[in-house]
Amino acid sequence: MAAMTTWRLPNPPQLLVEPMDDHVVCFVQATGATHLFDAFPAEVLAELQAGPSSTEALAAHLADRLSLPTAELTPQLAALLSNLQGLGVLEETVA
Amino acid sequence: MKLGELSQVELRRLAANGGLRYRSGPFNLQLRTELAPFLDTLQYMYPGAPLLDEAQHPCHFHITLNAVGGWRRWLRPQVQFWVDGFTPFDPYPLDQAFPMYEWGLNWCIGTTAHQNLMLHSAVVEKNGQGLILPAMPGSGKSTLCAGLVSRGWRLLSDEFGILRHSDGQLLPLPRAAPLKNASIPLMQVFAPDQRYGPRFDKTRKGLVVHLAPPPASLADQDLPATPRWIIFPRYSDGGVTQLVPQPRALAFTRLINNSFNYLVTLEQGFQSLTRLVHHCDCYQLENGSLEAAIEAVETLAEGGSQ
Repeated sequence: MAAMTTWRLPNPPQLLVEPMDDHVVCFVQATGATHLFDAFPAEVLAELQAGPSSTEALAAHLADRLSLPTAELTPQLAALLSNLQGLGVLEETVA
Repeated sequence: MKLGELSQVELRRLAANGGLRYRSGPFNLQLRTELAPFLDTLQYMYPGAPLLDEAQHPCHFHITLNAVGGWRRWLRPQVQFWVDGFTPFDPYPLDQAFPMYEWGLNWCIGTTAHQNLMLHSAVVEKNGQGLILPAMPGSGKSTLCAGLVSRGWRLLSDEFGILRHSDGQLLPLPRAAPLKNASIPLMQVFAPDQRYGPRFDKTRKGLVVHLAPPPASLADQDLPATPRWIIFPRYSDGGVTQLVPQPRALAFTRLINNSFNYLVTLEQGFQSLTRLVHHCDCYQLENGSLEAAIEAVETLAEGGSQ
């Protein structure tokens, strides 16, 4: 059976997340940095606040929310997830 | 006992011996100086400042302000600011001792008082609701703040929005507001009944006249205010005055850049700032004239439409 990659948010206080209108602001304890994200990443972070999720599940959720084809979203989502991981906003887990 | 209740002789004796201790908002100050004209101005600007008992009140800042010695005292008299035995600035001309003290104290607070989140903002209050005016120099913050105070708003601060981490309340620090250049005649005509200090020509910020904190604001310096509005003023001479709603996320990022110490307060700073922005309505104020700007703010505070 192939390994399943999922994404999750670090637990507070490692990561603090505050939705702000249609944006979200995050504080990353490891870097001391504050990040502001617009609607697309905000939607990803809101979904991950509910619990860990795979790239595929996130793509399906966003496609539904934004009424876009999943195939069109997936490359953008992959780049975003990688970027957020680099900032310390996301963690990747392999089950 | 209040600063204004000391006789001139007592004031000078205390200050010369390092015994002049008074409170300014959340800060206890110890001041040592032998500069009599400076002390006269200090007493004139802060007659209601409460004096502190030495044994019961440790001081946040120990400041010494004295004339520079040597040959300079004859040719070009200067004053030096010391805090805790350290002198962070070059000397000023001796007759600018009061502005140097005020700016020096700002520096002390802005660089060390990290127990609260500090915004570079004027703060006023009406009916228990705080209005924060964050701004860069030249935005008209001090003039608008002075105008609102002259119309009955309580002055919390002309310079520091001090946000207490524990409950998000705004702490007063009512001090003299340094009016600069064109705003001086404007305010002296607009609010002739307020108390103004001496004129300081050719300071590093141009012509400066200080506006004293109203006695009622000084008397209420223990009374915090609940933040209600954040208004970013932007002055444009003769332009149309209007309040434009600001998205909270934009206000949040502007306040990070506006803060003296957001980056050193880490999680606490983030939590205090997000709470502040969530609890406030945020606006940009295009400020074309003082009268119109005050009217716009008062209409907002009364719950009217803009």
